[in-house]
Amino acid sequence: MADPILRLEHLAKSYGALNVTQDVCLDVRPGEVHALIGPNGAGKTTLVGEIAGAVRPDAGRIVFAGRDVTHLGVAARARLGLGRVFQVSQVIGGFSARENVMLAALAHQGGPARGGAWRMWRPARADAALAGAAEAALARVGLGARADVPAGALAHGERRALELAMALVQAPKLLLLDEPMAGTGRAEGARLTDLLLGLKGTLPMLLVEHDTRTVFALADRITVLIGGAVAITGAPEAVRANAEVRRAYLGEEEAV
Amino acid sequence: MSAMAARLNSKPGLAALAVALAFLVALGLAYGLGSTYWMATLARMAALALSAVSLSFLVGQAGLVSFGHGAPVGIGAYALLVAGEYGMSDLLVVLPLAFLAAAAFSALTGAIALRTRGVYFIMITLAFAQMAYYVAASLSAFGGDDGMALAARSTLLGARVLRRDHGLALLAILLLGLALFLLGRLAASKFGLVLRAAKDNEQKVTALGLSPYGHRLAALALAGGAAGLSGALLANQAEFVAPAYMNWHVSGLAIVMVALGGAGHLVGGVIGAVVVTLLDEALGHYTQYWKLGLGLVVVGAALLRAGDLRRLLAGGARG
Repeated sequence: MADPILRLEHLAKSYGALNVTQDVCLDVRPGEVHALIGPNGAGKTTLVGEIAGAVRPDAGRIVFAGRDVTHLGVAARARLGLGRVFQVSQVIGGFSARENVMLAALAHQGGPARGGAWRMWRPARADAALAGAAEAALARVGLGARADVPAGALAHGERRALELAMALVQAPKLLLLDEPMAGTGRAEGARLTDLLLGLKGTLPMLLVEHDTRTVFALADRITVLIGGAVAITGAPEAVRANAEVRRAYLGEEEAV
Repeated sequence: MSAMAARLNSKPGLAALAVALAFLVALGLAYGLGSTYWMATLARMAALALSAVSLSFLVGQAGLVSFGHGAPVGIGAYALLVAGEYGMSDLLVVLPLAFLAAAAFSALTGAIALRTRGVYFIMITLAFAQMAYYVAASLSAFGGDDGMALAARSTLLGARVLRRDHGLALLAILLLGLALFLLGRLAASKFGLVLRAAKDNEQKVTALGLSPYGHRLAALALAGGAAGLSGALLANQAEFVAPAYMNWHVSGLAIVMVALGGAGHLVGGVIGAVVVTLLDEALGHYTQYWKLGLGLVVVGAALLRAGDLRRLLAGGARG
């Protein structure tokens, strides 16, 4: 089997006596959607922070795209190809949707010729390649007609889609989705799930999500985090059948 | 307002040309009337506008509310004085020198100041400016606390082009127009896009793989350099250099200019500088408490455009 794109090796993190991450091992394989679920307080948010580079683990290793990134910061990991959609949508509110995606494309133009973001003379709008990439990414998430709307004025679900477009335009090696369904309405959520289904297979995703319907619709494998430790990793059917998971997380009424 | 600012922002050449033309017309009038007083005032106004425009770039584009903008202005003035003492007074030498000295100061102090945010950034830039003030006051070879008169105004290839105030005003207008054009281009460039994005949402910009620190440092250095040019012009106008150039209320007045004119566009800095200078001239004749009148104008402007000021402060709190 091909090497995993992301591998967490025995990660540990504690705040005082509270062990929020305990010996977590997890991998995301090329092309797969790996879902990370767990009840509130299971340590999902901390784990996302450790993967993104915002939180330093106390022990363990993070290997991303074949490199040990344990000691790299957020921006460096992003440049290596870690795309991220935040739990609370993070967009540049004062910029139009197009400008937001252009900014993301600009950050990605990066690579070895990272001069892009330092160009001081030509107007940013005059870069046809940048604008073209932005248009294409916006069209891909269904925001083609909303390119000129300020991001701050977009609806909640649209802002999610915009963040997704910003991630996609960077052609990430892994998409880290932190509770993309949080706060979305039923129709919005369904649209977003369809969007992610359409992307499935084109790039690996680590989906941290509360909404079990979305998880079971999308995931190839599921890891359940309970009390900061991995309770089980496996195919959706195996996880669904696991008694411990049912007790701790899914609950009878949510049985899917 | 913001629509107008956006239109102006997309045409930096037009904005620069409009401002330069307005100043030139005023200068032509003053020249025609033979008013040396107004020619000197216009020179000072354009020089102050240059400083305000550079601060407007920092505040409006980068979200960096510097409370120490007087420091690079003063360092530009001292660069002129010191170079003059060593026999260098050609504009082709002293202007680059003033720019570089002020830019270097801004970059060095900025490298530390940029590790802080919001109110702490405001305080640390103020602290650095006060340090520069006291260093200048201790330079006994250059007049110490009292400051020192210039031996002569700067020359251009030996010609005494600044001997009369209209020559100085022309130079100030030229530099102001250039600054508006170049900083305007910079704001519209990819570099400017990153600066504004980081002002709006630093966390997201970082998550996209950009590190705004370098951009902010470069912005501080460039704006500091422009402020240094402003100081060199002001020193030529007054033919006198003193630590007072770096006093904290000079820095405060620069912020007032930016806030008055609106930080959304660089031209706002020009408007603020013109209003403050005119008030100074108009009210200063009647009372030494002219800043009371300025205070009333600022309060009025704040009430009328509360939104603008709120954005400015919000930018500062995050910036």
